[in-house]
Amino acid sequence: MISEYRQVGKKGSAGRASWFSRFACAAAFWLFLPGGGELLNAQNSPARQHAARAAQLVEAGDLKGAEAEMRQAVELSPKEAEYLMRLGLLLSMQERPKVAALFFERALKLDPNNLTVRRHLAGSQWQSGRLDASQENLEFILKASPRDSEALLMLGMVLMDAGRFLAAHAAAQKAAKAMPTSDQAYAVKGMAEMRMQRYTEAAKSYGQAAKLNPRALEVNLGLAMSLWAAGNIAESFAVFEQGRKRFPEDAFHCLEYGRLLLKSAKPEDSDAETRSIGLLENALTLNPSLPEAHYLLGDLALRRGSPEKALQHLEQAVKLDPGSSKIHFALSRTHRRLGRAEDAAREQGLFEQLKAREEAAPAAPLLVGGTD
Amino acid sequence: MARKILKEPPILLFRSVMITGLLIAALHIASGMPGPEGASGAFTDVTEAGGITWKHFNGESPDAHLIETKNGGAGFLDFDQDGLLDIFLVNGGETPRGKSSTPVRNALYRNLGNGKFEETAVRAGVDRISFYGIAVAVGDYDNDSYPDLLVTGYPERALFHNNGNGTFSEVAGKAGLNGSGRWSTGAAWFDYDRDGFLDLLICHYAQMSFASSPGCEFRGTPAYCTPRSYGEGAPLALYRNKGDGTFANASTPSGVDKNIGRGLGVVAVDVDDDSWTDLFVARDGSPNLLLMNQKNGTFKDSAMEAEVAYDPNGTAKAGMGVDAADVNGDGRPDFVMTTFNNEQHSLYINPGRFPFEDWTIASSLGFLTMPYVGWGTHFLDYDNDGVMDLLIVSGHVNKTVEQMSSTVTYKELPLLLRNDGKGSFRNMQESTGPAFQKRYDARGLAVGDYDNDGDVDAVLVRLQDTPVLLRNNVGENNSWVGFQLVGTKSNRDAIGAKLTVRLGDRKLVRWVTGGASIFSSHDYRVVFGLGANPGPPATSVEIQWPNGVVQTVDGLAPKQYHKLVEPSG
Repeated sequence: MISEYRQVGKKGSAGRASWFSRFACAAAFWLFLPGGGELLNAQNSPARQHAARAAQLVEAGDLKGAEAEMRQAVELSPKEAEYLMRLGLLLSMQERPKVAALFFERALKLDPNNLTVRRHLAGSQWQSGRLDASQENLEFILKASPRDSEALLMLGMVLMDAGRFLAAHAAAQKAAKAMPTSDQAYAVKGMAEMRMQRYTEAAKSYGQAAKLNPRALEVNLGLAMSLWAAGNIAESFAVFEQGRKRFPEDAFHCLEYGRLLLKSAKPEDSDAETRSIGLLENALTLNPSLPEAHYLLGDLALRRGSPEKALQHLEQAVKLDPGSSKIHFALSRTHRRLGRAEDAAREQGLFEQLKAREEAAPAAPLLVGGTD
Repeated sequence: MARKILKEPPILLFRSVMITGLLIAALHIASGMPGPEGASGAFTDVTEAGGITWKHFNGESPDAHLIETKNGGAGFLDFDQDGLLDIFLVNGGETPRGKSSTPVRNALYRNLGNGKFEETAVRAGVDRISFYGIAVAVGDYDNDSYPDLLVTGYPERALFHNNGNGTFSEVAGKAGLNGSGRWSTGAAWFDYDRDGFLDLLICHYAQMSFASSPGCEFRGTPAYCTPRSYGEGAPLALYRNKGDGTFANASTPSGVDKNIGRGLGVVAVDVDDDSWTDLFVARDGSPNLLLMNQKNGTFKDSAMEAEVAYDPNGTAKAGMGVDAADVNGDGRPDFVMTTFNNEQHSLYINPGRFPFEDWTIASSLGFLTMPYVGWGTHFLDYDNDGVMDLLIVSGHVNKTVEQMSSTVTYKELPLLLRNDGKGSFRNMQESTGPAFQKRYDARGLAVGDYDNDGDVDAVLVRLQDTPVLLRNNVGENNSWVGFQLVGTKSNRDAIGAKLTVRLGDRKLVRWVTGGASIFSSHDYRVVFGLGANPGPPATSVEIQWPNGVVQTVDGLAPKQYHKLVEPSG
């Protein structure tokens, strides 16, 4: 179920949220649950009738309605672990992991050996940032069922979020071994390698994932980015181009392509800046809430001597991501150029506060510079 | 708010065209050295031929103390005043678990004038220091015409006073320049108060102790930690030369000690053409500093206004080496700063106002330097075409880096980047010869014309290895004119002077800078490339001396060094 690699090599709540938001796009998942199909046809108890209606509503995309039906089923049969689990799932699908976890925990009390419930609990705990608890549950599952590849994959993601990249990589590697045809397993491995700055290996892992599933948008993006990081610029751009054709609606291909094109542009390639601007503007057309695209366009405008235009983009960017130090830094430069000393000083102050927080990091090996 | 750089006219005491009556002594030094015949490429490695066998030692150990990666200074100086540049090399030192089987010594190679060098450090008394050595700064602080040596390091420093008889005396304590437990790195001699005596700016890196190390590893192998693991850094120090052989600590009165950070490279040059020397300090993961001389004994950091403190993303790059020269032919000093791999080395163009323009991308420097961890760097007109090119030496910090990237290597190629005259650079690797096809773990880089043939040579220090002396084979094919300035009212080395030569409709401007590159010190003579032979039959030069006096000298023959003494009237 791991399919969200938009945050290639990056950690945080965005990755967790997107994992679960994918459930919303996969209502059919509900039907694949053990007994799911049976529930739709069940008529023999009021609780089952509510559960069946909930399943129909999920299929119709009405998660709120499904949740209400499922709550009634739980009220009528509070000792039914499966109902509790399904209610938890419905809440997870609506990105309410903390409440979901309460129902998974109740279900688990009733059926402590149910590894499916435990996996869902671990997922909701991951989604809500309770990484230790999630890891503990996943390790419990893997002890009982060492070949549970989905648990392995999720463990990889959880460990990555916890900053334990080496352990995350080991989990992903095991998952890939257990599921040699799983593009997701290779993609998670690639993600861990990106985080460990092992770019050459990451490109290989993503390459394998792309072979297994050329239609996976996030895999293509990961492959392009890892190739670039490993220094294979031309190959990276070819993969981006391919991705743009395959996934014309994906804003992230445009954003990352534009960003990396700018970063590696040769001066004699006068076309690169223009192409980057086109890509970034296209990214914003596809998804207007991308702070990075606004930021890059603002920075470019500043570089081109248009602080007024820069300000427009940067003000959009800071609305979308007020906690980004670099956006505040760009704003301070812009205000300074516009002669607005007070605004510049304010933004500079915010930049410095945010920067100090970012830099309060533990000791790490000195392997690679750069900001991205 | 953007501030316009003040453009005050320098103090004009002399602006007359003088040929006679000037204290000009043309130093036409016959080369007498082996020429570049048979040499392939722009530079030839002449280390072995020159008899240079000294080896660097950095005390590399399983504790991975970061200081092991940040040392290796080199300096060109004519310590015996025989007209030939000698070479001083600073060794690192031992660490608690990184011991040397032989005593760790500095080297002083005396230039014999025939392409050979003679090791004289023991005789000169500069071979041993009681601390871990990092950098050298050459300067005649007592104006006795004999260059002295400052050696920085941890936890002490040494000031070797040149006795004028081939020997030196260590006088740091007596002079008031003790290190006092600090980790000092790059240093620059310059005369900030224009009293005619060289003052001293010393960068410090961070708090450190051999007793503890942050302890990082990569795949089970000890690895050097990021600079941030060593805390926020340490303040700069400024020492005012009292003119009696001692120094006063002016760090607080001048305001420079307010600047806490991990300082490495520094260059002293007059940024705003007001005849007062300013400073650019490159810092490692801390915002860079542009310390503008306020002409009253204090400095103001204008790096934010100049937009050189951070990169455009608000990231303080791993600033290491730094140099200043006019890259785009507008007569103002621009700046290069080497950084870590993936960061792209920076090129800042000085348009005569703030902010500076970041030409990292536009100059190709960003693209050309992406995989490199750059250390020493210096502008030089290697082919004497009248345009300042760029030499950069590199080397990664962690040997494990090759396990994670196909493009970044531990040992790295040196880069000779040719300037098209408009500030756009091209990698000359194909035509630079075998020395530029080899990968080095390089640190310090010093430039100077050791064979007096009018083209600038270079020496680089490699960690745990012999240095590499690179003889320039191509500069002498073009016309040139060189100057050795001798200050009388200004400091004797004339650090801070600005020289202008007109070549057709072009105005070539050069400065005698203090510091520059990283951990290293350079030939204070200035060479102007005059383009294709035969070139102009005679040249005139305008000199703005460090104390503001402007002097013009005409009728200077090409292909010679001219010793110009500052008018004392």
